[in-house]
Amino acid sequence: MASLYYRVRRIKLSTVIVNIIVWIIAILWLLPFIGLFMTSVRPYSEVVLKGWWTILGGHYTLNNYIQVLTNPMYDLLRGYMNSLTIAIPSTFIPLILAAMIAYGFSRFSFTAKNLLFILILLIMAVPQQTMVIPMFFMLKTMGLLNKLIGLILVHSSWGIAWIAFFMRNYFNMMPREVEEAARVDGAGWATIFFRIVLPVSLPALASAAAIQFTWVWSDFFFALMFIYSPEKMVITQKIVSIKGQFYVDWGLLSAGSILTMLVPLLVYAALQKYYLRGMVGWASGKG
Amino acid sequence: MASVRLESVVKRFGKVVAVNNVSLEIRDKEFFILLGPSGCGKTTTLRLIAGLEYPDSGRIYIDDRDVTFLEPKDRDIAMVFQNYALYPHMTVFQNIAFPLLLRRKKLGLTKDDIKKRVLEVARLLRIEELLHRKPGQLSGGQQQRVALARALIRRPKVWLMDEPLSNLDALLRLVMRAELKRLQKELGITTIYVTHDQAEALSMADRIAVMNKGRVIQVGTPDEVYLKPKHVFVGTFIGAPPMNVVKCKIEDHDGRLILSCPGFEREFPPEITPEKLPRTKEVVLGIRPEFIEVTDKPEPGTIKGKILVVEPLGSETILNININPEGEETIIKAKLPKLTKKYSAGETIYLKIDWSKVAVFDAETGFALT
Repeated sequence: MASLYYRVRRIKLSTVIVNIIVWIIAILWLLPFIGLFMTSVRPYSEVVLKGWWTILGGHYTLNNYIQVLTNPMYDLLRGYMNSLTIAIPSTFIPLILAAMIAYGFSRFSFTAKNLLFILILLIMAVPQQTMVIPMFFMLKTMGLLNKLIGLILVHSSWGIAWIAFFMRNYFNMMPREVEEAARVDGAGWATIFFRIVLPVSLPALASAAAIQFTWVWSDFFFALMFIYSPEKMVITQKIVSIKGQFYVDWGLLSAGSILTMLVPLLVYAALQKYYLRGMVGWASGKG
Repeated sequence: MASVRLESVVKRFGKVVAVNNVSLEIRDKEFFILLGPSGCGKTTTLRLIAGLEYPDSGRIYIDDRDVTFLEPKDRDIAMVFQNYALYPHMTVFQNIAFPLLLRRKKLGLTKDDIKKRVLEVARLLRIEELLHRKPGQLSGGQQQRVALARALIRRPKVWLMDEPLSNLDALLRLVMRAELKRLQKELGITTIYVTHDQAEALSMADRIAVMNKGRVIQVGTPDEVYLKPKHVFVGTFIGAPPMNVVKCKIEDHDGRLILSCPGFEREFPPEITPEKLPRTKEVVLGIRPEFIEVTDKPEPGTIKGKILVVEPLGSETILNININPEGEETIIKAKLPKLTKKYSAGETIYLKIDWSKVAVFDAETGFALT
């Protein structure tokens, strides 16, 4: 009894309050997802009659998932393939280019360095919607409209700006001694960058990769603007096509949405051990 | 094998002159230490020799080859950094092998050659069992050894070290001090070593360059800089406790020189042979604490003082004595190896100074007059 008494006494009131707040926020965040998931595993009739947040009672079924994946009308698998074809290069191309740009900004001095950096910040501040019309005409002139490579280019260039900004901050906090040691040891700039700086920055690169991949994967706006043939549409466009004009099968739509979310979730899970360190590194300067 | 020469080297960072007209000559196989307080330009000087910075003017030679603007890799030097700067993503083996791997083609080395040399160096520094670990899994002392091994593997002409022992705990530092000196002598590599720790400098160096505010104040053997400081700064920077300084006046009483200091006045000691004395009247006396003896009773030539603090240090005792109890407090520290009597604060004692060991500095410029 005594030990229990002490254990109860030792928990501070503030800890309890913080915990309650954290749990409330977490549940609020999770609630839509739970609703989505419940909808996806119920037959249409129950969703329509009972609403999407009934958790207990009723029937559970995987029918929606099977339907959405196998029905050629929805063609979700092709959307998956297209999305992957776009998201993978759109993650790695800007990552490597931006890392090089960022390293230049962080370690070298050159003319108009600050001006160029401000330009990058400006690009980050511009909303996509304002740029979409000039971009449309640019792609059209280059003959890249309605082509996956065109969308890869758009996403890559959009990604370079923020990743360069992110990586520059990371490089600025990295101690220079390690690179100086490499210089003394006989390494040139390329060797230093690829064999010392990049491996050491893996946490930051992984965080940037996870964010950029999710961003590209979840993008609907650019895809909607630049891709219009059904066989080239990405997953987010395919999801929209599940919804009919007069009739919405919420179960199918939810199943499709969950399948779409699955990929970024897997990417985050796979990179978790790196990007957690990367985020911490960004804040505290420790890689 | 290798000598290093700096000729009137100047390095500015914006408006700050970090290295101000430094000329040095480091001899072959020498253990040369750059000593000075933080911000005195010693690390910048080392970085200039390494090629990590380029001077604004002046020249740097290694073995009579002008290396002033060469890349670090073309200078045949190796450097040990204060925080070791090991490659965190590589194992100890890879860290040590890295300088060789980069020059593999140039040196015509096979993988086995590299392995052999890494093992050789690892054995020398007793880190063979750590070769598969990452730097993050090593203690400070072990990281230090790895950094030394990496700097050794290439058998460079010159070894540069930037306060390599300052991140170690006090006990390990003493161990590594002796080990480093032994290693340097065994291998005969010209070494330039930066430190702010005067004890480290005195115990390790063949010669020391004492720096302050970007300038070299004095270059000499540990004995020279300790016993014959060229500037009052050197005297007060080196030694634990440092040299006592007392502001005095030299007065000419009809041809007799009188030394008038706070608390005492006497005929100018004949043991001091001043070279440029007549030019100046205001001087600073520099008295090392160990060249002072104390007695209970006044004797001819002793100085009366009052003990303020007694600091027993085991093998020796340091007395803080006020030699001017009537006027402005003037404290002198005396280092006494063997005490025949226990002293306590407040006692009156008499100081016997070994005048042959006293340095006289110009009160205005601070430079030595003796």
